[in-house]
Amino acid sequence: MFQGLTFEQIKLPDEASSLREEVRQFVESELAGDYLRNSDFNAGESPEFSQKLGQRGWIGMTWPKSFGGGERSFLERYVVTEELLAAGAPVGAHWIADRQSGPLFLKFGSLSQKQDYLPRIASGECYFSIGMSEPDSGSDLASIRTGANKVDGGWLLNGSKIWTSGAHINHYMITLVRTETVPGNRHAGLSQFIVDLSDPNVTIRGIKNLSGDSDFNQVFFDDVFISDAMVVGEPGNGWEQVMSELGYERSGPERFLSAFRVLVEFVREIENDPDEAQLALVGRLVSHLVTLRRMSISVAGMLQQGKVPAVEAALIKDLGNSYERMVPELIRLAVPAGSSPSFINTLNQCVLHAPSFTLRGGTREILRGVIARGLGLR
Amino acid sequence: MNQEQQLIIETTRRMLSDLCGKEVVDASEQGIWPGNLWHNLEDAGLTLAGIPSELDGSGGVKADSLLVIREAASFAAPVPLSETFIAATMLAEVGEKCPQGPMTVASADWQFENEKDGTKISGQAGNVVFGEYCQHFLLVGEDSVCLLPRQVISLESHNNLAGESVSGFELNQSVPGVRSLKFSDVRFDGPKDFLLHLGAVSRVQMMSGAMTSILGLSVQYALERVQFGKPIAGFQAIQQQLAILAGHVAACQRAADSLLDSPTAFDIAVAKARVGEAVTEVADIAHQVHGAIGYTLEHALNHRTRRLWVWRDEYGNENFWQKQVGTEICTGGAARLWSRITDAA
Repeated sequence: MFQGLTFEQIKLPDEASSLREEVRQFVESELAGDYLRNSDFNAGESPEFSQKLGQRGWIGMTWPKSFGGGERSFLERYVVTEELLAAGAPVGAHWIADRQSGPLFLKFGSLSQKQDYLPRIASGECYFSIGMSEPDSGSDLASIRTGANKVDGGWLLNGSKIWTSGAHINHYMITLVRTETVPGNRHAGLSQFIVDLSDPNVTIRGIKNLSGDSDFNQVFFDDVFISDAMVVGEPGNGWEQVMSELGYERSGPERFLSAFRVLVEFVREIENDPDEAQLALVGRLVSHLVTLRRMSISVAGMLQQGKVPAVEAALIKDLGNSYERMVPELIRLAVPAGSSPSFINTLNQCVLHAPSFTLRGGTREILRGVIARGLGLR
Repeated sequence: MNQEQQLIIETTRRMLSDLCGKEVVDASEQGIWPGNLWHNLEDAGLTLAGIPSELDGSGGVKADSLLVIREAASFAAPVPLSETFIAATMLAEVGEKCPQGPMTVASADWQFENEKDGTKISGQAGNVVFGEYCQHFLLVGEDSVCLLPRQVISLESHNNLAGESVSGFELNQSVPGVRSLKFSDVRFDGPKDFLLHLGAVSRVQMMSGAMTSILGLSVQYALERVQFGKPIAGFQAIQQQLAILAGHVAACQRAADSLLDSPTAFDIAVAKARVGEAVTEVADIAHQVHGAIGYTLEHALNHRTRRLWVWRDEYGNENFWQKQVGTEICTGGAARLWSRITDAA
């Protein structure tokens, strides 16, 4: 009989506990004062903080030393990322480059791309955006129309990307582009370009989200020249390359910790005199969190073993996002009278940003489609 | 999971496939004890897996037993595997050998007075699972346990929500030839607390096993059932529901796995809270996907979902365990919340 999708028990290695302690001490000394902590990976960016992480070897941890990496395991990387998120540190600047762009270069990039970008990413100085969605292409990614024509020595890029987080502060965007139309095969003919966001033919326009923040953008390309050296992997192989990133993109602790600071601040409000309902609520939220974390560590273990756990990652993201959405909704009903303004602010910020949790990195409907395929239903 | 455990699981699965079909579970609800199933499990050493061989168990580690219990629950096996495991584990704690045959557990405010050639016992217990078919009863009191043979007990029995036989009984008499045994395990607050945790561990395994089976049944049904000219698995509405189901089942399996190897009280509380909570949605989706046939006694789904509705309440429902977790977290305070979570490896 069918046994479902299983998540093997993985224990973190012994070296993890001293590493964890180091990260904790570092974060506590860096984030002292009135910094409002937010465990949403997208909520705050600080190039200065990212560079300090880079100096400590906490970016590009799993990459080869020859490219500025630390040759450490995915499980050690896991410890660092979860500690930073749980503490509510401003990780937005380097997050995508570390999680996704670097591994993409390692797997598909040319030697000169690896030599050029990886050391700068690892030092916390070079940041990447991801260019996938377009105004007319969201969940249906293969329908993108931003295209490029072959010219001497490269490509001329035209079109636009949207919902591009951090494009206004990042240096580059790895952009999925249609370079060829292959009749009958929508997934063929796509390519990934490295777009220099400082190019004068690139226009970046901020979009305010409903909280009033403008962390995402629309990015316009007007005859942007992309040299052949700025194509990642083989032209036409873009779909496969994008899919291979999903295990990294969807399985990490950022998919269930976005609302964690709300839980921490709630416990701070009630810890001296909790009522029964508040105790049960805290227990309920912690029981989900501990279980999600164990599943996510299982996937880090699979990545370490060189597996491509796309379905497992989709499942963690879907479960984790549902959890992140549930945290503020349940806590708001249990807020004690006389709560501190800073807790209420943390809660309200989470309520405002929560709709994005189940959209970014793949909507819940798309994720459930991936899981359904894994179950053999489609 | 090691190779030996893989073998234990496969042996259990094969035996249950042969001897625990739907008709066996149906018959058990009419009071027909599946003796053949029990004897085969016992002969294969599966009923006392993980109990030291010097105490007449089958040897191995506790996880072996939990894996057997989980597997049996996926077949809704109507035999007291978990009760026998719990009784044997508690007997092992006090250094006692295990008797042959099925055992069950009766927790109550038992008064034990050791006498010259026996023990005077008074008290009453309810919800004694499969008491009708057990040869030995482990009475669990405030600070002692006492193993009684079936013959001295007179049972009042009925079927629970799952159609499994449960009993109550009363004692106020001297029972010759038995001794109550002081329980001194310092990890727990007396034998009842130990029982509560062991019971929760077993119910988590059982719920996880039943849920895995429910997911399999639901996927299979969706692929076979044709409506509007195609299998309902082809409809996104069904796919999305089954994806949610698969998420809960995977989480519950992971929670159950976390209890295989020396779990802490915190691990147990987390798992019983998480898995118990999942029952609502797991049963809801499975029944919705199955439609009316799943709501009948004709279909095997009911054997699993009815058991989930019983097991989620036994040995502390999710509200009880959530409060245990919440109390531990709030005692540590916000400052230690995260480290409590990362300590739960």
